[in-house]
Amino acid sequence: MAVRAQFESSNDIGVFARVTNAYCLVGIGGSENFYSTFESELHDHIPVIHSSIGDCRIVGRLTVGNRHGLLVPASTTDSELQHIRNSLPDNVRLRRCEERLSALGNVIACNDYVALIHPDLDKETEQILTDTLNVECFRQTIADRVLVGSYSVFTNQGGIVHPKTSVQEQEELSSLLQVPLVAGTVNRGSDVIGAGLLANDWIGFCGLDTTAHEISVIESVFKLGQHNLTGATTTATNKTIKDALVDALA
Amino acid sequence: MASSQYNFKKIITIPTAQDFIDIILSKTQRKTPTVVHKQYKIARIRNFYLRKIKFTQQSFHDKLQAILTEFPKLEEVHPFYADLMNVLYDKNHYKLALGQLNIAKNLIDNVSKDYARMMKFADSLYRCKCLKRAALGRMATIVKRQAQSLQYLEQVRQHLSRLPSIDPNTRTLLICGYPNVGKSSFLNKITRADVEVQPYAFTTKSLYVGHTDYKYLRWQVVDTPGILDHSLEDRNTIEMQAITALAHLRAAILYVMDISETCGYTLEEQLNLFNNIKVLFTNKPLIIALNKIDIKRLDELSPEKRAVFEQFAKDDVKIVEMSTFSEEGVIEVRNEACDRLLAHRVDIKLKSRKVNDVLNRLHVTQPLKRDERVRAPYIPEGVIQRLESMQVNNGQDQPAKKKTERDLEVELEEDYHLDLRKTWCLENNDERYDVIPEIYRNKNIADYIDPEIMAKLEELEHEEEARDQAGFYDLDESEDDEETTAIRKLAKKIRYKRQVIIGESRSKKQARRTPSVPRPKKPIVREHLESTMSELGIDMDNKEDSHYVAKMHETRSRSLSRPATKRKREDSEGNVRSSSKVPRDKSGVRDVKMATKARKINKLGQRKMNLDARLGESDRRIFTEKPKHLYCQKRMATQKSITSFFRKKREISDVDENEDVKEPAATTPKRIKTASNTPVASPFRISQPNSPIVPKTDEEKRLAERVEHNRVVAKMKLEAKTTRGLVVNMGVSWYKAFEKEFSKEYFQKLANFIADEREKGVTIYPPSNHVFTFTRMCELNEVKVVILGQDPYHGPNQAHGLCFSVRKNVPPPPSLQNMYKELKADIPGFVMPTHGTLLGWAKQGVLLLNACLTVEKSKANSHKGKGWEKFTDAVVQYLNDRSANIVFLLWGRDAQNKGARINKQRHHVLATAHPSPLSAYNGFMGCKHFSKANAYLKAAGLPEIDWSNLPSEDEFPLD
Repeated sequence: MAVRAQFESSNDIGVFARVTNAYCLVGIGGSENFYSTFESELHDHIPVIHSSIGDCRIVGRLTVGNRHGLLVPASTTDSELQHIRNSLPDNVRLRRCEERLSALGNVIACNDYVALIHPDLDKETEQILTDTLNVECFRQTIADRVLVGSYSVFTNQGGIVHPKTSVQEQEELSSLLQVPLVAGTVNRGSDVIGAGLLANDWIGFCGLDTTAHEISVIESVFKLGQHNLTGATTTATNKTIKDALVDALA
Repeated sequence: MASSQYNFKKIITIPTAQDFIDIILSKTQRKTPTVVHKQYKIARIRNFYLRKIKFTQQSFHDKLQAILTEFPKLEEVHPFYADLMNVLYDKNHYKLALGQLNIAKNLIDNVSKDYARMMKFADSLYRCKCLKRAALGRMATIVKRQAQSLQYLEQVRQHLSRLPSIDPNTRTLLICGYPNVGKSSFLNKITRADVEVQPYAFTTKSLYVGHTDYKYLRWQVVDTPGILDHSLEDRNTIEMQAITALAHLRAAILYVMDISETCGYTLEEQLNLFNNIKVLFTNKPLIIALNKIDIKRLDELSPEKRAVFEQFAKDDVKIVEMSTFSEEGVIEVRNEACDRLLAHRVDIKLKSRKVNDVLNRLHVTQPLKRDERVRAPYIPEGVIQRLESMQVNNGQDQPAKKKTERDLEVELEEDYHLDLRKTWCLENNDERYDVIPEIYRNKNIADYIDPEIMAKLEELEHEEEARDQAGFYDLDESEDDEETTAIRKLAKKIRYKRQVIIGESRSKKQARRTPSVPRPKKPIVREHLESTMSELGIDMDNKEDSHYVAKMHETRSRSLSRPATKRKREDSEGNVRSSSKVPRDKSGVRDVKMATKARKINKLGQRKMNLDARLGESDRRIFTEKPKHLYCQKRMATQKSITSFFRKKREISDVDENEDVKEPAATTPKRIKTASNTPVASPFRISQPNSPIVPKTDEEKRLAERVEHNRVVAKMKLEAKTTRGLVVNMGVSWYKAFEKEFSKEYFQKLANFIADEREKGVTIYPPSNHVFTFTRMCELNEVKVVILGQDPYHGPNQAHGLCFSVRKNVPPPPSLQNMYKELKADIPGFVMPTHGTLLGWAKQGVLLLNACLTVEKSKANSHKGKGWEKFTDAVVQYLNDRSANIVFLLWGRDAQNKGARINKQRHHVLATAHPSPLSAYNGFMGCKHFSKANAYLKAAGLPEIDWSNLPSEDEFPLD
């Protein structure tokens, strides 16, 4: 199941929130509309936490995390850190990390097992990442773009990468991440997947502009909602439709 | 989409030639002015008709151009359309018609140009009108000649607009075959084209298009007219359309055959045709549809006929059976054709580079296993349960919805505030709202965070307890020995004494009733201190090196009290703190009553002023509304006038060259020297001091002159001070030439002498503003004749700066009388004037120069040897050096001595005795100097002096 949402009339919801399998961070906005979208979907299963990072509400771009832990940038204040610590479940590690590329959400993309990181990230940060989030790290680019966190979103079930990613690159990434991948867009053709889409293993959130086609791709590749129960991968595209699309589009 | 590229329906209608002309002419009539009168200026009349011609030409031009651009160009359209148009309208004819229109357009343009030219020579309204009529008539004739082309193009346009809009690039099924085999029926079955179907050949005479949907795509189905089996040359237009479509459309070909032969053509004929046009099928998916199987099926054919079809099957040509009557197999045929075409197109597209952009988005990559690690998704149990329940209940009876923050916010409105701690999950949730200080003991509370703090505390407590038990704190505190006790006692005594002294001092102060001026703290006297201390029982001997003695010395050696670095701030009343002042209308007023009274009196006092509505001093006033310095502008010599910017560059260079030529001629006297005794005609008699700016235009010259003039006048005024009022009222050119003399020592001496004399009260002639009258009468370079005199007349109201000349109301002195007599004898028609003013001569360039320019009253020659001679020598020298062809009249020995150095080759010198009654008859009378001077001037090409032109002083006011 993928839910459409908007943050104060912005479709880039991935900027203002971070969703993982164990918790959800939401930036503090003018009203509770945005928060409640997450609250109503997730509150029964994981904590949904109001937070700011260094007095900014762009928590999605500044933090990176999974079910094992959460990394926040150096700009996080002590009181913010305390608040997040108090709100997170005890088994989630929280670490502040002195990284020059402080928008951790843009430079790191991860699920519970693997992380793709910006090629210029510090060695130390990589080490912290491995320890805190319990992941294997790979320095990678996606379609020649270094901001891997902005141009891809993946969970333990599947992932979407930048629409310009070639088939070979997709295959390479897929075998690194060990999840099925597809190149796609969100928000009616936006290539900044990380900004438009939030997903964990059972639910996804995307910008209000996202089309039905985009949502169907998202749901099938992330195995959201009903796809979860059937278990079978329905993502194998139909040969007919593929031919038709090649003829119509190419 | 691409089909819009070939939309021929938008071409606008082409009128017939007559309509064309009518449209344009009526447009001209409507859109140009219609009223003109013969009394108008001819230029206006010409313009009126010219406008009509131009307008008509432009209208024709635009309209023809529109036709030329709107009709498709055969080279630019898809070859299918190009060929189709060739077949339908004949390429040559089409191109010729458009070419003719293009020529007509150019001809009309030329006609307009010709008549516009001719219009310039029309001299009356009638002629103008005739020219206009002729021009319009010729244009109309040109268009009328294109009647045929226009008619043909209109037909083409109508036909084009009815052509089916076939997109040559899209997915197309092309149906072809013999006439009457069921092609159109098939089209009707799979699309909604509704083409006419009749049981005879050539029902379909042109191409028809229908559309069908299959596999989410739209397919274009083109029905062609039937083709007969003969060679290409023999084919008619209808067949050629089919051939064109076959040749140019990249489509799936459906070759429809009628094996029942009810169409009127045998199977063999149909096969022959197939073989005949087979070349057109290469590289295209091909299907042979055997129609009318409701009459006869393939397996009902004789074996030899069937063998042919078996041969086809071997060549990978698909053969499908169908019946458009019973609709059996129709859809299968379509699907087969579409599938083959799609496969074919995808094959081609996959080879292109563009396809990757699409393919990568249609591709889901499945990971290759790289290790044995299981990376399972992590979904909470609750989520799965909920999903399952949703599936079972099919979305019905969902659990009661929890109140979200948004609901709360809406409910509480302003009272809502975001509670961050609500979501805290702590070990003990009661602690959620405990107050935690951020800073504790000047340290960040976070610094205290230590998970083992309790253990550490316990350890410390144990240690302390152990220490306590070990007797660490049981130390005896009473260690007072006698010495310390004594010190303490003494200290106590000192403290007490000090208190007593302070108390005494205070009571003394209070006892005194009069206020006292606070004085700086007095130093404590050493003796006093020592006595007090010894009274208390302290040994005060040998205190020479104690701290207070040292300090005393120190203070003596240098002042420790420095002046305050900053002055105390205080207001006029001496208040240090800021104090609010009483408003002026309330100061000195006792109470409210008094204030109101004061205000009343004030108003009363102002009443008169207010009634008169007079200006008070507080009224705003602008004294000068247009201050001159803001509204007028002085132009500097360097500022160029606007016109100078628009001058041609050539002109400037010309002027420069001229200047170059002139310059040496003016400065070198050599050329003049060569002409020994003969007078030299030169327009530049006296060279001007070079000015830095070479003036270019008259305007600039005048400007430069004015600026120079102003500069000199200003300088002269300045100089008047240094020469103590001597050099005033002098001609500018003269001043410029003798500027340097004034600053010389002799002149300074002279000036001082004269000024001192004047200050003493001695009367000196002429008055100071008339000393240099001779310089004001003519420019320095205009001097033609020089007459030298001795010194001014020493009687009152006589001398005025010209030698021999006297002012009005004074009878001519004897020397002048003699000169008049000689003139009368020398110049015919000379009438002796009654006055003695020679200003008339001076104006004409006769320099009447005295050797001394001033004289004391009644003391002839009293200023001789004071310095004037040097100055007048300089004048003569200047004229001698810088000028040519001057006539010097040297009368008497003094004058001849003065003129001894005159260059006689360059100038003309005439010498004789002085005209005074003492010597006049020794040669002056009858010398004829005046006529000789004129003769010389005439020979030199200079204007002569009119000696008899001697108006009285009234005509030349001196001041």
